[in-house]
Amino acid sequence: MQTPMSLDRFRSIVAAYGADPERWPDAERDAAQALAGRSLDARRALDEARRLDRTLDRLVPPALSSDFAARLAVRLAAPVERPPLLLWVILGPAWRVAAMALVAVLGVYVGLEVERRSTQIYDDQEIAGWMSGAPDTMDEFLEID
Amino acid sequence: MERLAFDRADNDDALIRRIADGDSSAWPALVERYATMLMRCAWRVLGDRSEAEDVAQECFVRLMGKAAGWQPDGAPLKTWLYRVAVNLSIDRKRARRTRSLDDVAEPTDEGRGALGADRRLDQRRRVRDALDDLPERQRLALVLVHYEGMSQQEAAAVLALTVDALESLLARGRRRLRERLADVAADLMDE
Repeated sequence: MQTPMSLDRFRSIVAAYGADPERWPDAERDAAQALAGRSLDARRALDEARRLDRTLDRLVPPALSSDFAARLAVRLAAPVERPPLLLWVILGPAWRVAAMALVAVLGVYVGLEVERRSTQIYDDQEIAGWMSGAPDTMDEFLEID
Repeated sequence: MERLAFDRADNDDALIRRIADGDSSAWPALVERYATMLMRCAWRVLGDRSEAEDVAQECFVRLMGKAAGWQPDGAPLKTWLYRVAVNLSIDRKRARRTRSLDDVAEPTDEGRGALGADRRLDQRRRVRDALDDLPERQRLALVLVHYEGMSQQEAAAVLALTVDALESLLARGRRRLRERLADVAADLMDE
């Protein structure tokens, strides 16, 4: 035995799904159609929804291009493009973390080393050692006879 | 011929298994089954046939990547493909923020007179614009249910919504369209 549908529920269905019973919820289709058969108000709601359906149906999609399948076949047969960061993709999450940690450690090391060399204070003996082979005059430096 | 008959009888999961096994002869059946619907769905979001076909092709490319790990007990292929098409279309639409109307002018009115053709073209443009102006989820709900003929459960699954939420989106979307397109509807009554 089918439960009769209320006019309110019918209006809600038609407001959401339109006038075509094919689009109505399966479980409520029969009851809704039965109500439409006996209620003038239901038929008015249906007419209003049908006007909008008809308007929306003006938007007709284009057909698929005739070469769609051929283009797709080429695309599917093409080797998969390797992204520039292939390694990043291949590496799993654990390796990614390890790679990032390695880069961070290297970055810190290089930074500290640059800092150390730019601020290092040399003692007199080191400087004298470097200067021992240095030319005494500018001419000698420029190798002018 | 025997192969074709087998293809038609194959269900989606069997076709995907064949693709995972490297059997490219499974593609034509899948393309025949789903290419048009994917392109149509993308076109209704994007309004451009070339882009819509790109989206449809990308869906198949992604399916190829997914085939090996396909779980037959997961979402049905149709739902999965629609979900990919919808997401790709939204991404493209958001990226460009503009819309081509080229494809609205499909020349399907030959022989009916220039005036009638112009009028129909104008009607299509206005429907297109009205749909475009809807909030994204309302538009997608309408595309899937009204245009693609999906059941409530299928459309709700694609959009990851409850059926009640879907119904609410549809009702609000249709109400806005009815207000916006009242004069087009009246125009059509006169035809």
